Amino acid sequence: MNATVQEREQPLNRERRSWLSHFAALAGAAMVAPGVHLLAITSAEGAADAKKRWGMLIDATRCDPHCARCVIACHEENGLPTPTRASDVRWIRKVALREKRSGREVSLPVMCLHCANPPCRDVCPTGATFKRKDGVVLVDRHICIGCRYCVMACPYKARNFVYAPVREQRNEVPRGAGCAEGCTLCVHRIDRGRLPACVEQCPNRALIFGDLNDPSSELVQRLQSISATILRADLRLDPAVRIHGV
Amino acid sequence: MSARFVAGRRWFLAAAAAAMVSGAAAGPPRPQVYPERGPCLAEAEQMRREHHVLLKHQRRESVREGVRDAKVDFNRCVACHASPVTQSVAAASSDFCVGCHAYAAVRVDCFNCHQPSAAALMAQGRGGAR
Repeated sequence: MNATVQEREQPLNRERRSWLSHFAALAGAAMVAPGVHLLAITSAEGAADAKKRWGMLIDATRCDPHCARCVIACHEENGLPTPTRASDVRWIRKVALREKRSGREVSLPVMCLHCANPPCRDVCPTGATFKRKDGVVLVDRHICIGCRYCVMACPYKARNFVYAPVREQRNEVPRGAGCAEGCTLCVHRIDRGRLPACVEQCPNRALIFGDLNDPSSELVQRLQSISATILRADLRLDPAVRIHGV
Repeated sequence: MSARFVAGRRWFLAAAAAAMVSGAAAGPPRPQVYPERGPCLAEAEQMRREHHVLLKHQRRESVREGVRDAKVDFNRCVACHASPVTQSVAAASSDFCVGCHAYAAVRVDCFNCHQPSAAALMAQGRGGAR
């Protein structure tokens, strides 16, 4: 077939081919021994694992009030500019709490708590905010329209909006103006078996990352031995990030 | 289709190719490719027509399913196609991505979020081969 004929026939053929490939995929899934095809998909390298639920423990009793290594690590890892104004993004921030009666002060980092029932996802009109199979709550920036409903809906003030155009993205963390965003638990790292940047950089081991579904993980062991707080437990959002010592 | 028409088209294509070789005609831009950087994902003909489909398919898998180091990797595209001058696929009007899209009058939004610079990729330790 010469190039001219091929060119003229392309639109029809492509459409038919794309339909055929859908059927072929279905047929393939059915013809191969049951489960084999599905297994091949779910075991793809680095794919999110539905059996896991990534979570974190923030141990405020170990957090140094004068340290902000986790915040710096987050900004470096994710290519976030150093915040100077209130409108600049902060995926993780240090907060100081003071009890009025006793004067007791604690310092701790807070970020997106990766709820099991995330209100940010519930209000998202486009489905851009979603929860991965392993419980990480993310924004698909390809379909985020920047309405900021999620920013309003989050009771933990964990969602940010990017106002200014972004030029210095990290290649693993594409991000740009006009989209909502928040802590990703460093998905690009955990998908490759590494710890989130804040956890790795904490000098006092105040941040413990792990799988909430794995009873042998350090995270679950610690959660069994201490009484960690679920922030705003009354909202029944079941956050994956628990806090100790507040 | 008549054989006469095909023959006519063949003659036209040959003339156009000859004009392009001699540099006389200002045809569509010919993006510079670098074969020494390795083979592309697919044949050029398929990539020209379907690169956006491949990327859209992969974006779903990577963002939603967490598939990393897949065959279609945006950063690898950038690493291979970056211009040696600007180290980018979207910095100058002659760079690989924007060159074609400007000619086709298709606004490409990818680089509002994705890093178009291969220099940045190298600095982050993920250039060329993964």
